[in-house]
Amino acid sequence: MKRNEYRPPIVAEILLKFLAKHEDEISLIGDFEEEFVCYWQNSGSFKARLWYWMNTFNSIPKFTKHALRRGFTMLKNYFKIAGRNLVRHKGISLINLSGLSIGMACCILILLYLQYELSYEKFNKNSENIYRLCVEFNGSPIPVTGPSFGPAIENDYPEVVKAVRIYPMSTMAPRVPVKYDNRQFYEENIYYADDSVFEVFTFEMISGDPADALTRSNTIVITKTSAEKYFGEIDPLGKILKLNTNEYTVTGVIEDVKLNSHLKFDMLCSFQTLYDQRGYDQMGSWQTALDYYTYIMLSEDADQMELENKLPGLIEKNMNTETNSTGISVRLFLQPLESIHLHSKMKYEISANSDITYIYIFSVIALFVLLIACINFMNLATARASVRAKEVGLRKVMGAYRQSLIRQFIGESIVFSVFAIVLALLIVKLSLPVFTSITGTDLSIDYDSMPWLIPGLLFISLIAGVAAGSYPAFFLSGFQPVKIIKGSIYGNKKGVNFRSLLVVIQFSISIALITGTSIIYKQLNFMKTKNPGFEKEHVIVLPLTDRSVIRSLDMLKEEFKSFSGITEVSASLKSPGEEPGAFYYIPEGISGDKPVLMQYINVDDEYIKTMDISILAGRSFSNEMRTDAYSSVIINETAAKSLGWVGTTGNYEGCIGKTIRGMGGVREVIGVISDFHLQSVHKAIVPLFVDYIPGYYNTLSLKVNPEGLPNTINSLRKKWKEVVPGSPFDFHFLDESYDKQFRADEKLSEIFSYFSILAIFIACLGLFGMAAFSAEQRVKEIGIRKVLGAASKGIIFLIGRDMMKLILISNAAAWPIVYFASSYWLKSFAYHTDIEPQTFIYSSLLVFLIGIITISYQSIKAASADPVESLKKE
Amino acid sequence: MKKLTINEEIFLIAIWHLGEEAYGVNIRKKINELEGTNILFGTLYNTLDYLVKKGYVNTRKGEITPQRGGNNKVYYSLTEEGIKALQRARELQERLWEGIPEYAFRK
Repeated sequence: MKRNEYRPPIVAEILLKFLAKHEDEISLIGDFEEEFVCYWQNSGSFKARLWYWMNTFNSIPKFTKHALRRGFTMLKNYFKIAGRNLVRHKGISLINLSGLSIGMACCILILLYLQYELSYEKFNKNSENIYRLCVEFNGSPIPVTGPSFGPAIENDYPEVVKAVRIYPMSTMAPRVPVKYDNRQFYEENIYYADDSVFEVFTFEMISGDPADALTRSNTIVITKTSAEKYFGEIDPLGKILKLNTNEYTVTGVIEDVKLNSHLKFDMLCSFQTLYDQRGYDQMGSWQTALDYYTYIMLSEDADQMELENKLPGLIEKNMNTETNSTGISVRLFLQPLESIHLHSKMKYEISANSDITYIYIFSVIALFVLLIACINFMNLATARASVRAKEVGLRKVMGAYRQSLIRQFIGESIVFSVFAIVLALLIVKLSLPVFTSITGTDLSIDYDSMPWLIPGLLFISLIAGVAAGSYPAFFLSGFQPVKIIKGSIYGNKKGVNFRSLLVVIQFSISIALITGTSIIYKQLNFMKTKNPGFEKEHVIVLPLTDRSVIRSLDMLKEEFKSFSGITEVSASLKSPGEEPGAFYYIPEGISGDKPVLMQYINVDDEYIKTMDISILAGRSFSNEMRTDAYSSVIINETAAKSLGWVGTTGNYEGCIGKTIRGMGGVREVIGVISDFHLQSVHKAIVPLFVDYIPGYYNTLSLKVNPEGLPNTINSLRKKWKEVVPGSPFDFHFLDESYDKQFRADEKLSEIFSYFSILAIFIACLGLFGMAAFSAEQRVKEIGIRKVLGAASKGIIFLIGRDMMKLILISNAAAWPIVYFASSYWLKSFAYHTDIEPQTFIYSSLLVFLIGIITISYQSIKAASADPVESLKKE
Repeated sequence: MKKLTINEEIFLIAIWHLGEEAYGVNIRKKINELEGTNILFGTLYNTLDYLVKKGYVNTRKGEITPQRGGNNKVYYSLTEEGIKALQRARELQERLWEGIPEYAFRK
């Protein structure tokens, strides 16, 4: 009988052979096949094959149990040997283990942070189908639309399931006084929203009916935290909250909005309220200001691109063609909800977004820190391997296979790295509270939402273990036992070169991180200290949210001016640091009446004096000139230049008397002021339109005398209570609120510096271990040198020299990388510092110094050792 | 001396029954016949290995037949230890059941 006739399923056979590797089990494959052939003859090929498969599978559990029992003996041995080694070299083991686990902990923390950043909006059940409707206005995209866009798009396009309009109350006033009973606070995050908000987004409602909560006018839904803040134990449903002077009925309480949402609010008012306040005419118009955020939910099978291509129809149908003649182009586009947090960098974002660049930067840091830690681990394991050469030699003499030696070394380092993972998780758990407070997030180790975490970590530890174990495993096990035992492989050149390379990589990364940190700090410092063009010190800002305050504004101003501690008082629409509005203006004499986008602020006659902004030409507003209010304008330098009114002479006088046409009518330019940073220096200064409309103000700025400031504030408060008793006195300093704009950069630099400190720490641990090791190896050499009369100085130099050389090489490797990376980063700022050579030199010196300190302990110890002791032992 | 488990006892009895013909396939058939169940290959070889380790059974490499795809048969035979263990098991069984009439557990 030929075998080919009755061939068992190949895959099953291979599987079976794999399972039954053991000597005694060889016969079973034959037994299997014999029965298989018998079965084939009786019942045919299909049933026989099925039988073969069934029996193979059935036997798997039994076989694997068997194999495990055998494998366990080996594993036990690895544990034992690894444990013995750990105890024998306590110091180095400790360095090694702590380095690796700190590195891994860093990596886990960063991964958690990345996971968090990437999880934005994912809590919404329909997040993949939600888009934000944005407008490209003359080529510049903005995330806001008019109030009529939402209903129109929902009606006209069947693939749009729902549209939600959101209108932040902060558009009108940055802070709103909210009152219940005798509890009153200022709230910043209140939105008006359509009732469909609960259908589109996933905000869980604790009490109230989501379908009905926001349908009527003057209804409000609040978060759990605000409910506790205002109502305590009382059930808030049906209670009346007073926002400014308007009364709202609480119709629902929702869970607090997740931190990983770009919509950040504490209260939601019904959109119907806006209709009642502003009238249907204005809310239905296509010509109002673009202030509304429109989100749409598409049906499952709808295509974003397809809908986008149809959107120009919406514009054509509703916006009259007049806009085309003025040269304004309007295009609608959709932005996926999930991409807002990391990819959207438009003006007028509803809340500050992060940036995908940061995600990249952090991923790279995570990778670097892990790499440094792994290198450390490899380096020390490799260094120690030559000590263990004798063990290897002996094992080989006793008949160990090369394979089993490889398995032993790799297994041992895997055991080690798994141990480090456990420690790392512990470190993460302990340091998480600190980390969350630095990053301003609510991270937690949630194994359910990150099923990849544990396998991923095990994978990392496996890689690190294999990488660290492979050098001794393959290198040492290949030697002839005689040579090893005779000791002729000591001081092997190849091993030293390999380790040197690792040290260089490690230090290059550390130097790169430290230099990077110092460049970030420099830029931050540059931004903070750059003269913003106005006086931000000693200015108190008072928000004027209450209508009653604005009515008595003139009186307040007069009262405050009479205080001795106050030098200037002025009112304005916004204070520097707040996002100003921007509108299109048509200046005189521009060819084709092409509109120009200008930022808009509204101030009173004393603002320019209070802020100490210098006037280049013309004059400031004056309340004595009747024509100033409503009909004159002041522009900034950039505006004057970009309108082409200055020419090459640099003389601004020519601008005076020209006119600019805008929504408020025609204005005559009466003055040109020097450029100042209305926003942070991230952004370039753009043309500015300074208007003078009395009464249209939201903030009061007071220039105060720094001496006796507490008294001044006290008397301010007293006067405030006297003039406007119903309104809370709430102030901040201008420099504080202005500097808030740097918070994201500060956070970045803070995190960056922490991780670079860690990186250098881990690298130094490695250096320390290496120095200790090389001193140990050269104990006899040093002993003999001392006996022959070498000075301690010379010996310190001897040990340090090699290490220092490596650090120097690392510097050369790190500099170009840092240079290119940091110049790329600095490009994202409109105004930035220069990259100076000193930065590089200083940080390299720092690393060099740290290196010397690290090594010196070991070298001094070696140099001061008694040569008798080191030469005596054999 | 350890007592045999009922499983081991069945295996040893099957091997004794088969005599010169005791190799994997036959042993499995015999056990299935004696016990009236279908035992898994995994169980079969694990138990046989265990019996070998305990010293109840000896192995001997056999011939290659064409049906076996080039693999040796492995024959099993009882050792002195194995026979003694079986005897002890039988004595134990008989002693256990002595004096219990057949109708004792009938319903």
